[in-house]
Amino acid sequence: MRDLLVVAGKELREIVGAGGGRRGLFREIMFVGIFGLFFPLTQAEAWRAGGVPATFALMIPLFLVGPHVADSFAGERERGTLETLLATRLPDRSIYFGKIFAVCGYAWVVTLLILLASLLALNLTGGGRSAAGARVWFTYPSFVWVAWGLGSIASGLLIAAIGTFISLRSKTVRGAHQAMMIPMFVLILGGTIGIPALFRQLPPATRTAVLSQLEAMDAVVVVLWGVGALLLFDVVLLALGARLFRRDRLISD
Amino acid sequence: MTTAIRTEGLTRMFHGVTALDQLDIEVPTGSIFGFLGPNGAGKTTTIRLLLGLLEPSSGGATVLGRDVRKDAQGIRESVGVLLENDGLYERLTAYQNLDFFARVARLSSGERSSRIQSLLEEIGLWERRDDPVADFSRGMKQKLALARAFLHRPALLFLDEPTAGLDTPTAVGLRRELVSLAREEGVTVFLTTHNLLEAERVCDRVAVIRQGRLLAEGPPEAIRSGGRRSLEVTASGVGPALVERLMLTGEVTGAHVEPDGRLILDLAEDAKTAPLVRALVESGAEVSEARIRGESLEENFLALLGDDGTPERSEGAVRREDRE
Repeated sequence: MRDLLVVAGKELREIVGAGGGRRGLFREIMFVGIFGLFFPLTQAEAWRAGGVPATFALMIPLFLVGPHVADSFAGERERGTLETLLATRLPDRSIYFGKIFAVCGYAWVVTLLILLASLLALNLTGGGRSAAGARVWFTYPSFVWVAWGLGSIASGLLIAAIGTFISLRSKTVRGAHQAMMIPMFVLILGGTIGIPALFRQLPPATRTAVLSQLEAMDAVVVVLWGVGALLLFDVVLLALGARLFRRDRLISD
Repeated sequence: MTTAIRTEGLTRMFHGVTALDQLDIEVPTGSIFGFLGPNGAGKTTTIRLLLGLLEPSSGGATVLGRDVRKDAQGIRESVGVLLENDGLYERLTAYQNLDFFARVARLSSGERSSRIQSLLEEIGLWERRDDPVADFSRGMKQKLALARAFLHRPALLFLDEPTAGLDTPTAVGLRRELVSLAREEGVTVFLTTHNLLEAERVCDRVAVIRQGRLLAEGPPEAIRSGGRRSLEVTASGVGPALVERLMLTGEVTGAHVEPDGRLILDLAEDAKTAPLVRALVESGAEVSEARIRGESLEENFLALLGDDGTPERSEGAVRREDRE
């Protein structure tokens, strides 16, 4: 675990561009500004309902993790640091999971900042109303917090697992980034357009039955089921990735 | 004398191509061992095998008494490396780079900071510790990478072409740092290079490799003097009687005159050339030029490699065939 944290710490420093200027932080500020302030202020009602922030909690990690994970191994190989890293005493799994831990942790924190910024924006521009109509501090429904707390990790791990497969096999960062576009588009478009479109293809009776079933359930439970399924898939992908991560293969490739 | 590295029939093939062929070497503990060869000779492959980054196709090796197949992690724990690329993280500062590798090596917090400071001071980069490595010159990066290799006080250091691509003053400086640090810290150094001057100046022993095959091994002076050494004399008034007289001195093993008139004297081992030139002058020959051929390691290195890839005879050095 200690080795994993050492690798993760180095990765995080690289991600936020420590010592290398403010470019890294600028990107995070942009993300918080667009997703945490601009959208909530322009679509306040949709955000208050909770569906939009919950969806964003699942989607934003894809944007944040994707580019960094593509860079994780392909970048080290291109910059000539991979072999030196592999020549250390670090176990394979610490390197592999350390990199994933760092990008997912980073995405989780930035997603939280976005959520908190959006809450602040919504409260500054209207806040909530008590039953008596008095102005009170507005907060999101529980399922949004579950989506942020677990869902963002699950979606981050999903793209990280896919990204490491790609990064391990890419000779260049550019190649890894290009290859990463495919799963990112599939996940983003699949989640926002594909699943609703498929749902609309179901017979009306089935659709009604599913919707009524979902409405009868607690939203938190629905989110937990979805996140649980995603996490299970993540575990399978990560286990497979860890098995494929071999020093000799990385060197001889 | 203990052995830091021992390889026995170490072989590695890539897709049917033999990159390293039955390598047998021994590196004594505390020595600076030069591994010489042209590009693509198998030097980097050897380092990768010794670090356990690649599996041998056949044969084996021990590094610091550990088997490369069974205890690769143990090997990597006890060695320092400076590979073909400096391996530094350009977005991190010099201090952050060393701090990361010190944490990897599990140095305690106090030891980390004092060790990093002493090494950065030693290589003259302490004042630049908070600068990103991306802003450093190539020479500074190589020095920092060298410091990183020494960070956890390894018993053995692998250096793969550490001065490649550096200008001469920087290369000389780095070489000086390397020797000083290695002697100071009592480290065994396995150095690959195709810079023969570097090998000659720095190494206690050298091995010459080509196309994965070991051609010769021994102290640099053995390889240097192992080739035919001759004295090339441009002079007039040299007759057969004089040549015969020179042969009787015991310093000359053979002589012939080139078509252009130059006299070539094949020298015996440890032959002194000054008395021979003096004898020529005293015998009435008018010597306009006298030059020793085949004395540098470079010339013998080239002779060893041969134009057709066939190793030529190098009597002073221990050859693999001789040991078999």
